[in-house]
Amino acid sequence: MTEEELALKCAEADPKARKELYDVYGSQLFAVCLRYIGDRDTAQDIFHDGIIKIYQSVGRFKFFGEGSLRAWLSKVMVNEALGYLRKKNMQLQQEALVEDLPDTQLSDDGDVDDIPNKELMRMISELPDGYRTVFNLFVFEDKSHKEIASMLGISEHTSSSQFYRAKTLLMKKIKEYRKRYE
Amino acid sequence: MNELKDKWIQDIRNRMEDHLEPLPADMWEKIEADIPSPKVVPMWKKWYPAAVAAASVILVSTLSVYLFENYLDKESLKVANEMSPVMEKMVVLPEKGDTALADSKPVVVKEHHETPELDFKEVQKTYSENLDMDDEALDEVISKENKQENVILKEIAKTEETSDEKEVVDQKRIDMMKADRETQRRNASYLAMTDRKHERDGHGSLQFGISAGNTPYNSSGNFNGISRLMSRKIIPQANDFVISESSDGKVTYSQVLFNNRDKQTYTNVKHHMPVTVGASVKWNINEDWGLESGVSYTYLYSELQSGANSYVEDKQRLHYVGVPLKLHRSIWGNKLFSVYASAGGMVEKCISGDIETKCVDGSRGKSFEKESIDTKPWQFSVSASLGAQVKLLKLLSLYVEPGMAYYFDDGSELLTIRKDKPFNFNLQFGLRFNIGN
Repeated sequence: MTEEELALKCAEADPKARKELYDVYGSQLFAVCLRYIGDRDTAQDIFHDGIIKIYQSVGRFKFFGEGSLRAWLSKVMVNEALGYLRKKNMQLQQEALVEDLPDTQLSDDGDVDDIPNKELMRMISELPDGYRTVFNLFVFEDKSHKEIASMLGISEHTSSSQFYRAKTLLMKKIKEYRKRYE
Repeated sequence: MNELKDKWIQDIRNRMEDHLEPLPADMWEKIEADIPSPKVVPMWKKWYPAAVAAASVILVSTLSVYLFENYLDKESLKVANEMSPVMEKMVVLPEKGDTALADSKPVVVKEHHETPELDFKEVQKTYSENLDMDDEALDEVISKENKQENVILKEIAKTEETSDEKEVVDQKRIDMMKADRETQRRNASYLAMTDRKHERDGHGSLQFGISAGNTPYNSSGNFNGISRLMSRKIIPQANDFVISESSDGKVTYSQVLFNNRDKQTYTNVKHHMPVTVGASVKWNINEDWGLESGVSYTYLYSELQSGANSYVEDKQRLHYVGVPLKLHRSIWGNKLFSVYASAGGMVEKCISGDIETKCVDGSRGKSFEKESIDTKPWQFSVSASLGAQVKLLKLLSLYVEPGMAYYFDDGSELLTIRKDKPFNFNLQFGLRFNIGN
């Protein structure tokens, strides 16, 4: 089944197509969910609701070439996760304790090839809610700080400073990881 | 994008974007179980409950007319038979005063056969109006969805521009998608309506109501012989005549009896339409069940004319206060309109009553007497009804409940429509104010 057929069949409530959509895209969408939510149990709940929302609204999906279904699905899931985070009334204005942040930037390490995906996921998950949300939106959804600010109801400055802090925290975690396994 | 991303951040993005996270083993089963059932409601399903409701109203009222006619005939015969021995006893009572000769022309007894009728047209109009409103609500939902879709479209178009993969989508495909979207949009709006149903019927919400109702017909009958509304009380006993003759009314009444001793007499009883008004509280236990109670007031009025040229007229007024208790079960409903069934009972207490008596003794004399009724019986009843409710405003609903009720014998000597026709059909309507939720 092509992406388009799959979406159409799902819209017709075809059980087989629904299962296929879940099998093909489920793991990826769950990863998106976890990346936003951080906590695995909560991420499962949000994923569950998100998939049901996808089945209910897949009729609105418009096919614009290969990859568009994937993009649409992940957008729905991101919105579901953001909805939860907003509800949770996350304290986006939270200030990181200065001593948490390392003095120096990660110097010359241009890549993170040595860190397994699983570890990267854990590190992102462990970021405080506010940092993680800004980080996800900026890095993965290509949102500008201005867009993020209006989406989350924070100032542009807060968004960029939280992104900076998220980055610094991640670097610190990567350093720690390397130290442990060197 | 305003800011240059570090290489390692780009790295994270490239790798994590395609990252797959193993799914929990039983996740699919959970999701499958929670997918709402198909949302396309066929047209017949949408009309079916309204049709059933309309049909029941028609059935109920047709039956009521039919039963009413049948019942009346049987009842007249029965009462007439019962009355004749009483009549014989009366006539041999000792006479008093002169025996004015009355002419033999019997009183012409009018027959009151006012056939009860429910206003079907009105009821049907209400139903169709509701269904119209429904469609409007649907359109509203659809147009809202259109807007949302436009937003998503724009966003997707934006993604397309950045990815440099602008393609000309062929017309056929667009048409196909369009038709499909239409179906889906409809599905989504039905779904939205179901959701709203849940919002509306919040647990434990309260509704206050005012209502008016009646048995939508009166009852009249006539039979041979003499009778009274409060037979045992007013009909003079043999002893009364021997011991005392204190009341003028009684004197005249016995005169009436005497005058008619060798005449063909008739009794005509007319029970007027009972009128009930009330206030109620309805507690919605959950979205399907509700409990309603309150307080109601009922007025019963009956008239009797009995005799021939000399005759007696009774006008009886009774006031009841009652407490109903009803259990409602929702059958079907949407945002504006709901149909439910209810069953319950009512305890009523007669709080006051009076009887006005006029005795006409041929051409010679008239006497009036008005006395209050001391017997204040309890009246128990059970009822079942079908209700239809339409939401007029956010907090205000109008309802109509055709139903049937059975009134138990109150053990008193009062003759009322409830004793005359213990099983009858009634119609209640009113307003409910939604409080909470």
